[in-house]
Amino acid sequence: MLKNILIRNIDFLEVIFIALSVVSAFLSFYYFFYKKSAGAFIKLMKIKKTIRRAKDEKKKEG
Amino acid sequence: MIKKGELIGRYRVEERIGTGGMSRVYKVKDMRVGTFLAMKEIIIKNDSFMNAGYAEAFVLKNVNHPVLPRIVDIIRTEDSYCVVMDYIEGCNLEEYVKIHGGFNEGEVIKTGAVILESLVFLHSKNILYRDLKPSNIMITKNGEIKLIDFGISSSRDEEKNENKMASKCFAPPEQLAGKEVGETGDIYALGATLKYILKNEPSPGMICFLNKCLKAEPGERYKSANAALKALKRIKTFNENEVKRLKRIVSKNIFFLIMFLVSVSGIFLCTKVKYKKAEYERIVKAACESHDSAVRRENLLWLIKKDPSAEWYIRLFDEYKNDYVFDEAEAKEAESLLDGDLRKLKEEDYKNICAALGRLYLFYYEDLSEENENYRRAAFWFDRAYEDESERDVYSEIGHFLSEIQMMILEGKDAGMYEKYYRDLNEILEDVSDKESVVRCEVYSLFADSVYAYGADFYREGIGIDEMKERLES
Repeated sequence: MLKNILIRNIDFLEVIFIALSVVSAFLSFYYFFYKKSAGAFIKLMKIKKTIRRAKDEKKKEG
Repeated sequence: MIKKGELIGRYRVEERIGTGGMSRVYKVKDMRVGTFLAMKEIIIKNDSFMNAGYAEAFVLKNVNHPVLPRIVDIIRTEDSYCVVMDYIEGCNLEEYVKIHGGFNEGEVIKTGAVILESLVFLHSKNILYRDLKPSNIMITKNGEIKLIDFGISSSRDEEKNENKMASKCFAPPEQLAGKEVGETGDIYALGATLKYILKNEPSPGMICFLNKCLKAEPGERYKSANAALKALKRIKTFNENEVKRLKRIVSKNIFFLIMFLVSVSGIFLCTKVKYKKAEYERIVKAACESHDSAVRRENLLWLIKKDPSAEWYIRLFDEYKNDYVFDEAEAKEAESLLDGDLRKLKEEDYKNICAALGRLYLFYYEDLSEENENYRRAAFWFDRAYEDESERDVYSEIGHFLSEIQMMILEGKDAGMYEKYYRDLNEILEDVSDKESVVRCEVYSLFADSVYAYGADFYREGIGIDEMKERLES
């Protein structure tokens, strides 16, 4: 039933997916280049690493 | 001992502002220029103090850095040396901490960076500070940081033995133990100083930095002031909001990336489905409209395999009828296909196909055995099509009559069957005019054969001779 509905509206579905891909690609690029998400990710990793190191240091001191 | 108001050289003593282990510090006024300066009186009691005083004077004389006070003059008195230098107004970090409680981490990083820059400068000149502590770091009214009191600073080339003078809380362990001190000793003292002036709980980055500075083993500390400076500048003071903001950016990017991948997959799937749909339509067209029977048949078999339905089966049965013969090979093919699709087909479709197959056996099956195999098989498929006897159509009734009559005759149970059979034959005779000629021929032949075989039985069960004659003639 659902399969038949989807197959009947396949052109409409394709248009929706194309629109979604364009929008999501734009937003991905926006966040990657303008908001510098890669940098943010590296910063987050560094923060996590620093926190982990600090915890280890505290444990050693303890 | 210098007294207030005393003139030493061209400098008049205003007040005493500090006392050290081997020195006194006075605020003096340059009578020629009118500016205030600081004068450190180094009392010559023994060689050690003498050397320390000289050291300070000569060290400072050779260096010029914004963080370090400028030596203006060196005066020799009867029992002391006086070193005249810039007067720095403000308070030292020890006093500052006592008054204000300390600095926040950002300010500590800035202060530490200024001190480390001056240490980098001093170390590049082969000078070790050796007595870095909060009371030796001044903060001016403008907020500038200045290092004072080079009482025990020394050139690394010189052999000196002033380690006992180092401040215990801030001096590195090796200095307290009287061992040789290197650049890492100053880094230890800096770590201790920064830890002292820090007001709040240090961040993880600061903890790591301070721990590395304060390692008991000199080899485990930062190798140089420059390395420590770089590490200090790398410390990022972050708060929860910053972390949340970073997480939000990263998670949004990941979300949109996943959305993009899903969309691309969706487009790919849509293209694939459209291709399959076009292919299916092409095959349907070939199965329905091709001029070649073999092509039609081949495509119908493909359609039955992919999408079994009554439509494709009945079209296939029509293909079997093309040569007016439903042979054994075709019968096997049809039955095996139908057995395979038993569960895939809808109940209604299955019944329609069984009824069509029954009619195919009834009228087209090539019965080589001459044992009424066609009627038996037709009755078998009609039974599948109509599970309840009341649902049977006229073809089904005829099929059943023809398959059962011989047995009934032998068993003597045939009485009462003939009238209904005759009425059924009449019904299909009236209905057959729009059927294909071979079916019409079969039905006429069946009627004639039936009158020939069972005419007397029809008559016994009330069918008039005239009625049968008239029907035969028509």
